[in-house]
Amino acid sequence: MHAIEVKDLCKTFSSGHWWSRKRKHVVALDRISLFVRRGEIFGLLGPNGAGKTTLIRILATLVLPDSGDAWVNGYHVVREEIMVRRSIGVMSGDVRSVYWKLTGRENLLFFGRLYGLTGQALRNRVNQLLQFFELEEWADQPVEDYSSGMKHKIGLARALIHDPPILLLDEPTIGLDPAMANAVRQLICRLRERGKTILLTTHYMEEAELLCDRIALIDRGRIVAEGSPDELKAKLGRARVVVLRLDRDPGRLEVEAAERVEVRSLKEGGVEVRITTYDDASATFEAIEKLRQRGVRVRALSVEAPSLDDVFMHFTGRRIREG
Amino acid sequence: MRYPGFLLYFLLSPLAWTIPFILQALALAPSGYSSAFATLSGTGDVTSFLIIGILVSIFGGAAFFSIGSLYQWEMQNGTLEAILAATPNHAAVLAGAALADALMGSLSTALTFAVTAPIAHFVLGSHTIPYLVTAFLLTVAAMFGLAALIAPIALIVRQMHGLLDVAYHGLECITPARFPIGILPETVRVVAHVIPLTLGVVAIRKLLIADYPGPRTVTTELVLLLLLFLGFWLAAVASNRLCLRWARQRGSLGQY
Repeated sequence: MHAIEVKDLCKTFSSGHWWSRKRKHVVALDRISLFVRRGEIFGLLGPNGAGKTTLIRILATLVLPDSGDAWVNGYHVVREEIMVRRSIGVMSGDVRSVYWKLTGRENLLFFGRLYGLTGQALRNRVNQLLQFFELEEWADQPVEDYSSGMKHKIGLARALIHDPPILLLDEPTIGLDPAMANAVRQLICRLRERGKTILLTTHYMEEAELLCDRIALIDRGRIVAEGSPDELKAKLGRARVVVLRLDRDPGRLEVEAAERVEVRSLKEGGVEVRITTYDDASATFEAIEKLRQRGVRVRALSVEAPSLDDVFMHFTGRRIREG
Repeated sequence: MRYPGFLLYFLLSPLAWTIPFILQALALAPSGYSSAFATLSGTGDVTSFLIIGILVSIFGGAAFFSIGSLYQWEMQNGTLEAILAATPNHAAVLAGAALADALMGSLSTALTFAVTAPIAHFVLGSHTIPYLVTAFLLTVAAMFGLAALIAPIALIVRQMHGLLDVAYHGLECITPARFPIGILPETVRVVAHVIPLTLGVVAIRKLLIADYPGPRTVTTELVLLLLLFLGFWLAAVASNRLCLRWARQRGSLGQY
């Protein structure tokens, strides 16, 4: 039995008033099927609005599916919701999931009591978690005084208060600075070492690649590819990505030896051309020659292995961050 | 006790709400007695009549708004989903919040009662106290039930404060807290008697004001309060289930 099994799950949301002609129906999940093995970190990677959060919320019993089935720890998410809730800890990137006027310790005590923990057992559990998340010094300060990273940590500690075997983490590092995001990622790795099964959503490719044993690329409610990061990249075969940094926009660029050519402006200035190709030498020379004819100067050149974003691009025709 | 100012608020604000009505009573009947008022209300003791009405109304209102705003408060706070994704019996969470509010409300009411009692002419025999406590508790429990019935509407309608305001002030219009029930048209009086506040106010006045016949005559009000308490809480359970299901289908749980 897998930790999580999802079969043909569908969910459509409606926006606007029921009497309005402008009422829209958005397909959030379109016959999604997947499984998560016990003890692994499984990532749902996709752009905003892809359906990642909807899937997590269905598994957390917060949203009812239109059709299909899902089991968490062997329990059906609609028919056995109480047992599902006993089996999961849920944390979203929203740092407001705890009471800011209460201290970290008071929050953990409160949520522990909600799960039926009491007395010394509860106090010990709270102390364990405060120690694990390195929050002991701040335990008796109101959460409103915490940094963003500490608020994420206390949210994660809250999700773990009843020691569930399965964790559902929705964008666990969103809004954190790089150092704090890394600290949270390390904590997630340590939780896997302790035997937890973790399903997380993210739109950070590096995070998915770093943390996840397996990843499902999700777009417009459908899983477009699934596998370990290496397996996903192998779906592009021997393809390489030639990256050219230019001093200005070259306009539309066609390279015959390439599978795909993308031209995009960089935040830090300049323009980048990404050429996905199975023959990097021919594609590079062809591209440089065409750029030279247009008077565009190449500032830098590198050849990279395809990233998960390239895999996503291959299957959907758009980038994760464009979502 | 992290915010002592709140304690001050809970203890002193009921007094501040009550005092204007005592002054109004004294202005209308300087001696505290009005025979014209007696023809409508059955007692000429205007001050006692009003003090009881205001006390019950303040506590009933606090109960109504605290439980009625429960979902909305958690939604605004961002903690509703964390609570609902937890295992517990959600009714226990609601009951816990109700008890905490009842405790604070009882403190406020007891203090206001103690301060205003010397102004009023209450008759409080030892045999009256069990009836008084029962009437008071049933009134509050039934008001909690009514509020719990309305509270989950916050999952559907986002303007819950407005809805609660309209609902409560609508109830106040036909609850004889500040006026005798005799002033209402006969048909409205019937409706008024299915509001816990009406039954509570009428019962407590019968128990504390000398002109009324005393404990023997409050049985009807107590039985009706008990029925309302049970009915409202049963309806509240159904209303919670329906609204939660609606919000989970729409995917709007916790959104504010």
